[in-house]
Amino acid sequence: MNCQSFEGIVSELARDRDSDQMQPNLRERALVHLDECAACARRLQDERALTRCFLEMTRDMRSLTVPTRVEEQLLKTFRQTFSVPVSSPARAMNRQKSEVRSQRSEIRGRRNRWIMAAAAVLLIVTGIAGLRRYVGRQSEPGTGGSENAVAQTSPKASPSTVNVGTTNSPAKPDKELPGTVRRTNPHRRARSFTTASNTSRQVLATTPAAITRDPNREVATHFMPLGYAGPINLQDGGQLVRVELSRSAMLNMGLPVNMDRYGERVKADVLLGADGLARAIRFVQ
Amino acid sequence: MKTQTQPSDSELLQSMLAGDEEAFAALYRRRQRGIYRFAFQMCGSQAVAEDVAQEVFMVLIREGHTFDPARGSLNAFLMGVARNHVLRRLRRERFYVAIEEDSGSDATKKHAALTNAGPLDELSRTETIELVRGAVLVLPERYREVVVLCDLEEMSYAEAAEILGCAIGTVRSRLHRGRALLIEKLRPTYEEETAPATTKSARCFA
Repeated sequence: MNCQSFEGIVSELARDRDSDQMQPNLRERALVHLDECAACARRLQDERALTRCFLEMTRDMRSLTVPTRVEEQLLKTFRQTFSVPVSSPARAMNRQKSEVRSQRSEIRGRRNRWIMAAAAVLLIVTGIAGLRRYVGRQSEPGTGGSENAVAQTSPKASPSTVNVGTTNSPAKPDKELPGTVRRTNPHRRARSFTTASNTSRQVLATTPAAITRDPNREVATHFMPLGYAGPINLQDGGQLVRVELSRSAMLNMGLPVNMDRYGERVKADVLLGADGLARAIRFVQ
Repeated sequence: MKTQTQPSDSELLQSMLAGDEEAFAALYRRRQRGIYRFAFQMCGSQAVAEDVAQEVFMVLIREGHTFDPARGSLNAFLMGVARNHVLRRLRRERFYVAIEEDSGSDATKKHAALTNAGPLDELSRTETIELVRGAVLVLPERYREVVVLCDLEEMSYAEAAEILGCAIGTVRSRLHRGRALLIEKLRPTYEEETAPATTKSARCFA
């Protein structure tokens, strides 16, 4: 026997149990090897010392037992489980109740699953619509960065203010008068057009796309020229301003107004000329 | 003269499932110690061992009818349930680390635990037991459970294999490895320090 094969049986030798699983003569051969190999002899001594420690531990643990309160508790549970007399009608009623309860919980679970499915579908549809909208906005010509570039290159580009109450009145210069109320509409956009590179036709062509970022959402009338301003001439540039007016302003332009919504406000795009005078207006819904 | 034989575990279980409280009590008194000791030696906590023992017998009350004698003994079934509970507790409490006081005389104690001339001469018996118990508790679970079953509960390889649900050869090799780990832990550290320095091979990249 060599050290490797001795290592394989050293635990059995030290434990002195399960020795029936050892091959015959194996023990004798191992003992012969011990006389020749001091390292293996020491290994066996370590194993035997460990076995002695385990025997001490086992002896020490033999007195350990579960506290009696655990037994009492278990017996109580046992009695409740097995010995509680339940009359047969009561048992039937309990069974019926539990069946009804399980049916209800099943229905509730099914309903919850449907709600979850509907919510998931809604979420997906919303996400797709948002994505399409985003992609459409990105690919839309004359919007985003190109518009800003146009505005920056315009020599006359400047943010303009429009007094809501005076939009339909004769044109006012692009200054705020003291005491006038300035509408800070977040949707209002100022846009300027260069005349050097763009013709009026180009301006009119790009205007609807520029103003109505989402044509599916906004419905606008045609631009209606303001009578006092003469023909629309944008050769010198212009600005398009989104304002909010009271619905009564639509009456001035000859548009029908629902009297029930008379006090409400309506959006409008006002086209300003290079001189700051309002040239045309259209209403947006 | 009549000899009164003890009813087997299976008979007691049948009586218990029929509502015999005495049978349950007899079964409990017969098996609770082994389960409690196993849980205690695996966890090192008496409170946890109590919980585990209680849970095992609660399972027996609730699901005793699921026991199949063809698949093994009732003791193996109960110990298997106990093992599952213990492992669950150990995994749950893995994140809690006990604060140990590392005394300077640990090396001496370890030396004393495995000294051949007299392992228990230098220390009291209790200290030795505590030392070995601590070493068992830090063994990896797969080795610990085999050491506890085979060495501390004095079960055969076959019984341990039935409880653990593995082959006898696996139990044997795990026990061998577990004992070797324990000896390494308990071996005096100063021997390594005083051993002659061996030449260590190192790869030179220069």
